Parts: sequence; structure tokens; C-alpha cells
Amino acid sequence: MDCYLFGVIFFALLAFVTRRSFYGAAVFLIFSVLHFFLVLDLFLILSKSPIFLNGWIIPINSAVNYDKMVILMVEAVVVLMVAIYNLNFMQRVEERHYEAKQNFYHASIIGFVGAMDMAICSDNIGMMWVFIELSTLLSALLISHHNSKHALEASWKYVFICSIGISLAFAGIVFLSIATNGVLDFSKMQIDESKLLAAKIAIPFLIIGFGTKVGLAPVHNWLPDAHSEAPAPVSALLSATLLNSALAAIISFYGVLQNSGIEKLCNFSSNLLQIMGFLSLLIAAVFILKADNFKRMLAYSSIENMGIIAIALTLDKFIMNTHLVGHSLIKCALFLNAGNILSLYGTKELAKVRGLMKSHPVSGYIWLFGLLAIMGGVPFVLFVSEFFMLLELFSYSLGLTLLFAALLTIIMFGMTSKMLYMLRGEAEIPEDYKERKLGFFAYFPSIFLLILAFVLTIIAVVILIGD
Amino acid sequence: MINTLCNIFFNILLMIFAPLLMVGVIKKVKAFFARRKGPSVLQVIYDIRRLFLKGEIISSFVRMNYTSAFALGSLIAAGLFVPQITGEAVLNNFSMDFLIFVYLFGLSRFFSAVNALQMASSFEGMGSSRELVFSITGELTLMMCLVSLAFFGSSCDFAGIFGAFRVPSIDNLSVGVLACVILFVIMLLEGCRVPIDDPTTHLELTMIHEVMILDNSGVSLAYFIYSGMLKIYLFSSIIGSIILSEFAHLSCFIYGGLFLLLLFLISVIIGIIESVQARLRMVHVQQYILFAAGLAVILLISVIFVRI
Amino acid sequence: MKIEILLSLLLLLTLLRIAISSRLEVYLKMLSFQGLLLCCLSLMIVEHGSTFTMIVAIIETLLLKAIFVPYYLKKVIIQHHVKREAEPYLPNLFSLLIVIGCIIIGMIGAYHLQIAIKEIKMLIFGVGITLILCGMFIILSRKKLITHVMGFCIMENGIFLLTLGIAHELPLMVSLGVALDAFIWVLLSGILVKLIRIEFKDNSIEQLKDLRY
Repeated sequence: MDCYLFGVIFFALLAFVTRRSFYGAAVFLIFSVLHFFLVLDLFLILSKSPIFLNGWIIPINSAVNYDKMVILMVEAVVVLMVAIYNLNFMQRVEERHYEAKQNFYHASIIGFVGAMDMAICSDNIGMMWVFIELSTLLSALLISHHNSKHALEASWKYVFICSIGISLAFAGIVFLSIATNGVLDFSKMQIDESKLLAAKIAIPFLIIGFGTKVGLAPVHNWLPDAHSEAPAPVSALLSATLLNSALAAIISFYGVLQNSGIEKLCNFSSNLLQIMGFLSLLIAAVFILKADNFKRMLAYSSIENMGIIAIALTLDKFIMNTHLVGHSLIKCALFLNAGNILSLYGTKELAKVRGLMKSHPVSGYIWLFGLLAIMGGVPFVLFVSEFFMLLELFSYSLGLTLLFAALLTIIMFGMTSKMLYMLRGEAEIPEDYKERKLGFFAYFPSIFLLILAFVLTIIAVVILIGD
Repeated sequence: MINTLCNIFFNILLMIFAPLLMVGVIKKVKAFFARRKGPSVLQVIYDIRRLFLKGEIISSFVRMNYTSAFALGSLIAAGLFVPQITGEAVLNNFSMDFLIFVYLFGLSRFFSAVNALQMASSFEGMGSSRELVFSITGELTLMMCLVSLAFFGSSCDFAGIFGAFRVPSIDNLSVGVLACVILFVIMLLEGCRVPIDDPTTHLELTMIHEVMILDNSGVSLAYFIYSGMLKIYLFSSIIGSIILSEFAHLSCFIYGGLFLLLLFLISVIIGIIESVQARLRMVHVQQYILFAAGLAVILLISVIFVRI
Repeated sequence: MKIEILLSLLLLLTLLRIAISSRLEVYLKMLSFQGLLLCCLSLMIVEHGSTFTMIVAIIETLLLKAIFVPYYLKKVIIQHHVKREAEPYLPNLFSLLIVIGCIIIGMIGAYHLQIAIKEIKMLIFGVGITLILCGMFIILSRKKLITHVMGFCIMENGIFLLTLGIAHELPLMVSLGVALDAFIWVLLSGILVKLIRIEFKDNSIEQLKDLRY
């Protein structure tokens, strides 16, 4: 872990001393490529496949098991794509404005990715907490990169709500350490039967505390603001990777509870997760209908998907992992494309964006396929996960299935109507944006991610049929 | 026998004269801060004597004539339970006597409120309403404080409470200091001193206690003024007993001397506070007393933890 | 044992003092006093750690909580000419009542917890829960952004007390990490407050309500 830490600090400092945004973005790109290969190496070692590079870069500890590996892999891919997009993003005219702050921006992004990695890879719940809090602080700087009033307000809300939530999670950690007699490592944790009350108290604190970071209702308030006001690459990173890293904490904790085998604790935590999941779906359903900003709409869709993942955690691990991977890839693609639309039209308001298909067909098609993907359309990964989710819920409880289906339908209706509105009709681009064209690298990441989502469907179906 | 007689004699003697002298010292200190010579320490005695010699004008709406006497009487009865200069009360070994103490104070306040309200003047109504609202929190605080002290001393009477403070130790110190602070604030509340109520204000709209005795004259006025001073004296004697418990084993002359010294010191402190601080605004007065209530809650918590 | 009680009482007294005052300097002084008290408490309570962890805990509490954070916040306050928390949402009387209520709830909660879980020290836990509740209350009932930061610092103090109250100790790295996080948090909030002041020309949270739905 130490080499990795030094590597992150080295790259962050390197980005900090760059003067022009091109160099900063290049440093970030190099970092993300190295990071990708590092994670690939880890994956190959872990899966004990015959082809692997020697594993001297990251020492393997027992912390990195299958679930966390999935989250890490998807994070590596997303970070690579975002780095490629970032290169193009920094060249755009409106970003020249903020050239002076670009070294903070790039250093923070590198530090942020490093903190997330170390949060996911850490065995000790206390260290995980420290790194998640660190990632909160670094991303707060990123959100307020464009110094507008809305961005500052979003950043302030984000820092505050997340920090308070995470502090409550720390109180949960304190209670958990009472319950496990001081052992805080996930791999060695054993819940003591005699200290049941401490574990019971720890559960809501930890789940709601880390759930603040994940974006589960009722502590989701920071999410729409933060994701919509941040610059496009940052939004994609937040939505696709940050939520996952906080989820890693909840997943590990839930795993410990399941392993302990104590009925009361398992039921309590499952119930709590399911309540929060359905509440997230409800909130997303209600607010998506009212969203008047397409990035906010995507943010509410993130809340919805996090709710689905929380419910899936209590049902079946495979569904949860599939949904997590699919959501990250597709949401990243959508947010990057939303950044394109913002650059092409100059506004975030839904009502003002029309005729995307006619004027910028590439963006239009990405938007269309992204919509299909996130709704759980057939050739994409989320179809698999949502389909099997319905099957599992049906065998679990009929009422919940109906509720789930109804809420998903409302959300689908909201998103589809808004996104199709943006695609159809005649383009009404304001004057100074008329002759905008974006380079290849603005579109490539999103296209790649959507194709990857499609390919993964096939793999997922193969695995399922094999089972 | 001689002991009891001495006890009664000295206690009552002090209960008659000490309040007068304390208020005299307070006025002298205030004058000292204002670089004046101020009235003599015995001036209050002369004032009260003058009031005794005057006739009384009674409002035509008054039905209960002797409220002032009852107010003073309940205070003197309360004073019989408090250990004073000799270290023992006149009526000692009476279980739960701190409760009787609080309730007799309440009774005295009731009578002064009745006296004010039956004058049928709006000023007195305003004054009584203010005083009674403040005393809601004040009595609560006083009760919490005394109950904590009783729990601390594991006994139900004043003698046991003060007995617990005999041996100096850290928890005695912390509990004692907190209790003295709370009792001091309550003393300022009951005795109507700054920062709760300015006894020298001329503005009727800002008066709390003075406006309640505005329409009294002669003997009634003398009784009311004296009962205000007596309240200050009784609280000072409780504070004094807490502080001086560890000297209880010394000879009674030394204890008496220390007690008088402490009374003097408390009067000087009250005088300093009156000179240095202005009266608080009405809302802030409530806050001030509520702060004392918070202190009493903390005292209760600390006593529970010390004794568990 | 007895000194612990005294120190915990003083912590509760600082809470009362914060509840009744509307001047920001008082908040700062009470915060640094709390840091000092926490340092003394961690001296008393560390029974089973190594000497090194003890020294580190003392130094971090003393330096960070008692000296650096109030100093930094004081600079922010002076820079922004914010001296008073005028017109909070609740007048001081009611915040005093609610703080007293929080003290009572915290203590009763700790008592019930101790019946079920034997390993915790009731007083420290009670004061910790009280500090967390009061910190949240201060955040909710005040308007100025700086006061929100201070409320959060009080919450952090409460959580530190919770870690002191359990029978065994958190590992060194975690304690260090927590302290570092708190410190960076305060720095970041200072930066954000400065940016918000430049942009909004206002120091209170009233303006920060444009983003809805």
C-alpha cells in the first residue's frame, strides 16, 4: 500500500506544478493508464489465471476479495475513460476561464482517485473511514471548480451533509468495535454473541452514515446539487466511482453480519437496507418528474440505481454486482455526454435543449442508447440485473415487487419523456454556440463505455446460463 | 440545656441584626465604588425604625390586611431551620427540613404577591407577574440544587448535608463550588438584586420587586424591606455553612468569627456586583436563571456520578 | 476517577456557555477550552495503550483542537468581520433549554446503554452523546457559516469522547487519520467560506437556498 500511496502523492504533486491545462490533463491521463494496468494486474493475480505480471506493485492482502475487485475494476475503466475525456474537456473555450485553477483541479482528481482506491482496498474499517472522508474533502474542491454561486452552494451542502453523515458512521464504528472486542479488520471480525446490543446500535449508525455518502434516501440531499453543478468529468467520477466506494463499506459490513449468522442482526440490517432502497426509489420517482435540468435528472437516476443496489444487496450478490457495474459504466457515459450537450448548447436547462439528433447526431445517438441502457433496455447490462431482480423480489414478496415495478415505471416515464424531448424537434442553439464542434475524444469514451456495457451483457448471460 | 439556649439566643439575635448590617455594608460598598461616603452602615436600622413609627395607608380594596406580617413570619420560620452562626439550626434534626425551607420561601412569595395584587393597581400586577414567572425557574433550580446536595450528603436534613462537606476532597470541592454558585444566583433572584432587579431604580416599568411594595407604607413596608434582606441573609448562611463545614470542629468562637467574616465577604461581593454590572434586560434575566437551572442539572448529574 | 468527573462537568459547562452567547469569540474560546479538557481526559483514561500512543493522542488533541483550529477560525473571523451571530433562528433562551434537554437525554441514554453493555464508561459516553447532540443542534439553529463549522467541531469532540469511553483503544493510524481529517475539514471549510463570501457577499446560510427540487 505504501508504494501506491507514494505514487499517488507523486502524481498529484506533478499535476500541481503544471502550468497549462494540457500538461495537467496529460499527467492525469498517464496516472489513469498506470492505475488501470495496476488494477488489471491485481485482478489477474486474484483470479489466478495463468497469465499474470509479477505482483510486486501492490502487495495482496486478504482484504481484496471478489466484490471489491469488481468495484476496483469498474473504477479503473471509468477513470481511464474520464481521463481521456478530460483531455478534450480542458481544451474547450469555456474552460480556459479557469486555467489558473487547473493545477488544483488535476491534483485533487488524482488524490481523489487514490483515496477512493485505498478506501476500497483497506481491510480495517477505521482506515476505510479515513479514506472516504478524505475523498469527500478532495471532491469538494472539485465541485466548486467553477466558482459560480450554485457550484459553491452545492459544494458547501456536499461537504456538510457528507461530513455529518460520516461522523455518525464513526460513532457506528465505535459501537462495532465494542461488539467485536476491538477487532476492526473485516477479514478477522467476529461479532460477539454477548454484545448483541452494541452490534444492533452499530447497524443503523453505519448504514445511514455510509449511506449518506452512497446517496440513499433520506440522506440523499447533497447528491442532485453536487452532481449537477460539478464540471462534467467530475460529475462522471462522482456518480460512477465515489458512490461505489462508499458502497464497498456497506457491502463489507453486511458481509460480516451475514457471516456471523445471528438472525436478529441479519434481519435488522436487511430491513433497514430495503427500507432505504425503496425510499430512494420513491424520492427519485417523485423528483425526476420535477427535474428541469438534465444533469439533475441523471443525478436522481443515480439515487434510484443506488436504491436498487441496496435492495439487491439483501437478495443476491450477483445481481448487485451486475447492477453496480452496469450503472457505473452507463452513468459515466451519460454524464460525459451531458457535458458535451452543455458545451454545445451552453445551458443545463431541459426546456432550452431541443433537436439534439438533428444538429449533433453523434451526441444524439449516444444519448438515445444511453437512455435505453439506463432504463434496462434489452441489449445492455442493466436489463439482466433488473430482470433477475424482479424474479428474486417476486419469490421474496409480491407487494414489494409491485411497488418496485410501479416506481421503476414512473422513473422510466419521467426520464424517457425528458430525454426524448431533448432529442426531437428543431435545434434552437443560441448564437455564439452555433458553430461548435467537439473533437473525437469527447465522444469516444461514452461510445466505448456503452459498447462495453453491451459486451458485458453477453458475458453475464453466459455466466448465468452456465450456473 | 445551656447549649440549646445559647443556640437559640445567638441564632435569633443574628437573624434580627445581620440582614440589616449586610445591606448596610452593600450600600457602603456601592458608595465606595462611586467615590462617595455613602450612608452609615446602621442607616437601614434607622430607616426601619422610622417606618415603624409612621402610620399606614391601606388601599380600599384590601381584604387580607396582614399579608406583610405573614410574609415575614414564614421567612422567620424558614430561618429557624437553617444552621447559622453556631453551626446548628434552632430546629435541628428535623428530617426533610430543606423541603420545608423551600416551601416556606414559596409561602412568603405567595403572601407578597397577594399583597401586591390586592392593591388593585396595574403596576403591582405587572410586578407580581414578572416576579412569579422568574420564580418558576428559580424554585425549580433551588429545589434541584438542594435535592442534589441531599443526595450527595445521603441524608435528609441540613445537618447531614453540611456534614458531608466536612472532609475536604476533590468531589466535595467540585460539588460545593457548583452548589455555591447556584445558590448565589438564586440569592440574587430572591433578594431582588442586580443583575436581576435593580433596587434603586426609579422607573416603574423596569421594577420587579419594588413595584410590588410600591403602595405599602409604614409597618407593612418595614416588614417587606426586612423580609428582602432576610432572604439574602438566609441564603448567605447556607452558602456559609457549605464553605465553613470543614472548620466545624474548631471552637465555636472561631467558627462564629469566620461566619461573620463570610457574611461580610458575601455582602461585599454583592455590592461589587451591583456596582459593576447593570441590570439585564427582561429576556436575558430569564436566560440568566435558566443558566442557573442548567448548572443545577449538571450538579445533579455530577452528584449522581460521584455517589454511584 | 474524581478528576474525570470534574473534567466532564467542565465540558458540559462549556456547552451551556456556548448556548447562551451570541458572540463568536466566546465560541472559539470554548472550543479551545474543550480541546484542553479533552487532552487532560485522554491523559486520565489511557490505561492500556503504549506510551507512544498516549503521547501522540495528547499532542494531537492539544495541538490540533486546542490551538490550531481556533487560531485558524479566528483568522477567518477577523478577515470576514463577522463578530456576532445576530438573529439566530431561535432566541438564546430556547437554545439554552434545548441544550439542557440534550444534556439530560445524553446522560439518560448513556445510563441505559451501560445497563446493556458493560464495557463503556457511562460518564464519558454520556458527555460524548451530549456533545454530538448539541453540535447538531448548533448546526441546525444558527445562520452564520462559521458557526456551522464550529458546531461540527463540537460534534467531532463528542465522537472523540466516544472513542475514549470504550474499553479498548482504536489503533494509532485510525486516531491519527481521524484527527487529520478533522483538521483538513476545517481548512477546507475556511476556504469555502471565503469563496462564498466573495461570491455571495454574505456570511449566512440564507443565500444558499437556490438549488431546489
